[in-house]
Amino acid sequence: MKELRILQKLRAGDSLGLEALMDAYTSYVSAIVWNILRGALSPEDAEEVVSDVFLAAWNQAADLKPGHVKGWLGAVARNKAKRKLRDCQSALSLEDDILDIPGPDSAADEAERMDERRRVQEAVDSLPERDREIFLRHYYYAQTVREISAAMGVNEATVKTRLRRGRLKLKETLTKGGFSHEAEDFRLA
Amino acid sequence: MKRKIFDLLDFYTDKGLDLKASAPLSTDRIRRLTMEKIHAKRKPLRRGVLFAAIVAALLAAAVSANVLVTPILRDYYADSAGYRQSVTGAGQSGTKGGWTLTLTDCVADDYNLRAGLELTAPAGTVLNAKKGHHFEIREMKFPGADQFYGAWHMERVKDENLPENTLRYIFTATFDPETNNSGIDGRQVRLKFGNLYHLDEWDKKIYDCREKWTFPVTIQLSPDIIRLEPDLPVTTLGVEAMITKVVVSPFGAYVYIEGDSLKYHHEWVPKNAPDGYYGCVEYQEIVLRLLDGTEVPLTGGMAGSGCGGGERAFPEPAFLHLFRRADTLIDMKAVESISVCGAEIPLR
Repeated sequence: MKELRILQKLRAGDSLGLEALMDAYTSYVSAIVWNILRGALSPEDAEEVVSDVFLAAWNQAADLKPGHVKGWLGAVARNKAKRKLRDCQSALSLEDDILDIPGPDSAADEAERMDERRRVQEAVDSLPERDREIFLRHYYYAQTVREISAAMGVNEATVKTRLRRGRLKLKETLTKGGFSHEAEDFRLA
Repeated sequence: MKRKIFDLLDFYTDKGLDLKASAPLSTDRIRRLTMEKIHAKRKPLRRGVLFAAIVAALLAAAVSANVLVTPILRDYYADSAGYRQSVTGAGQSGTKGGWTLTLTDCVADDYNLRAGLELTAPAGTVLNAKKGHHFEIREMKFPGADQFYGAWHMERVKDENLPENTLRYIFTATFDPETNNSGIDGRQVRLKFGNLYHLDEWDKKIYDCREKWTFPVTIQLSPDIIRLEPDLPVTTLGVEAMITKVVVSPFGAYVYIEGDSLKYHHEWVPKNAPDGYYGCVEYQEIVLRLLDGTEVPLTGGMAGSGCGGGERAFPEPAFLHLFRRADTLIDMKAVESISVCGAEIPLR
């Protein structure tokens, strides 16, 4: 069933639309949820989260826009898996996941937070295509370095180097005034 | 300030990569769970915030009331007053094919049931899979009911003193009494577990045991649970509504707010919930105070929270359900008051 037809059925409350959506995207949503929850929770727990993602699509059908369904599902899957992890007091272990950067404090208003989100989007989007894909596979979709290497046909050392480039770019963009005094320590391989 | 890149990307917009699925998840079960949720009898949940919870134990053939295993929840909650006010049902145990599953103890309120479970494999069996051992089958049902509207999860209780053939778990189930035929108090529930497995290095399921156990558990809720119908005005989401019901139990606080003023609230409530949806139920301040003046941290999860009447397209009574759980079990005899968005309600 084509995407537009799926959305029409979802908005009309027709469960065939939901079934078609699940046919198309269960594998994708499952991959994201399991990447985040594996090691902390069981497959059955992950299945619950995946079903919650499609339930969200059912309940929020009006928010789904043609051409953006996959991205919407991916974002919701990620957020629901993160919440599940937090509720179980577990954490995800990613490669050099911490950046030391300025950021909006607790008193920051919505405008400051929106500005930071915009700059994160710009920083990641400005990466070369391959670098961006590697960066997102690890830090957005929680794939391991090994999995990325296998999926993209790139050796693991190169994956790590590209991840480092992405981290540097993000840090540069989010550090006000451009390069910080620490920038001299970073040299691209 | 140290920030996680994983968190910084929360609001990143991606079109979606071509991810090759390697997850050991059951597509059929996902579909079944999803369809069950959308066909739930209750008013549609704003989104699927029902969490998984675990419920009691299994007993197929021989049921023994002489449970010699240490009560797992009693240890977990340090035999606190909140634990003693919540415990329900008797320990049960069953042996099948050399495998013994014991329900050591249960605690419950109107919205939750937790059970301690100990599994002992035949002597010589080593249960030490790197990715843990899990039950494929885990169900909770009310006898005679078509299905159970709720969710459950299981966490392993690690104990280095256990023999290699023994594992311990805490099962938690969360549910809405309005959905499940008017509540759980005084009723018998059936809990079923089976098909213990572990994942190999390629995430393939390897079954350790195909036995299945079913435990009937009769629930008797504590008389210390506080249930009020205050009908108290409160300002929330920028409008005045009414607090119509408050339940405070050892597990936490459950607040019901209703009013026509809440109709179509999605038209003005921002989409600032952590998952990007309307932030209808996340940000109301609920403070539970004890007699000694301290506040109980209600950071143990919001499973069951939801709203109704937010959309013009779905005409229905407008309501907010604000469920806030504590991190541990609260001593009901020590609670003094609760405030909801500044509206104070004495509890004694």
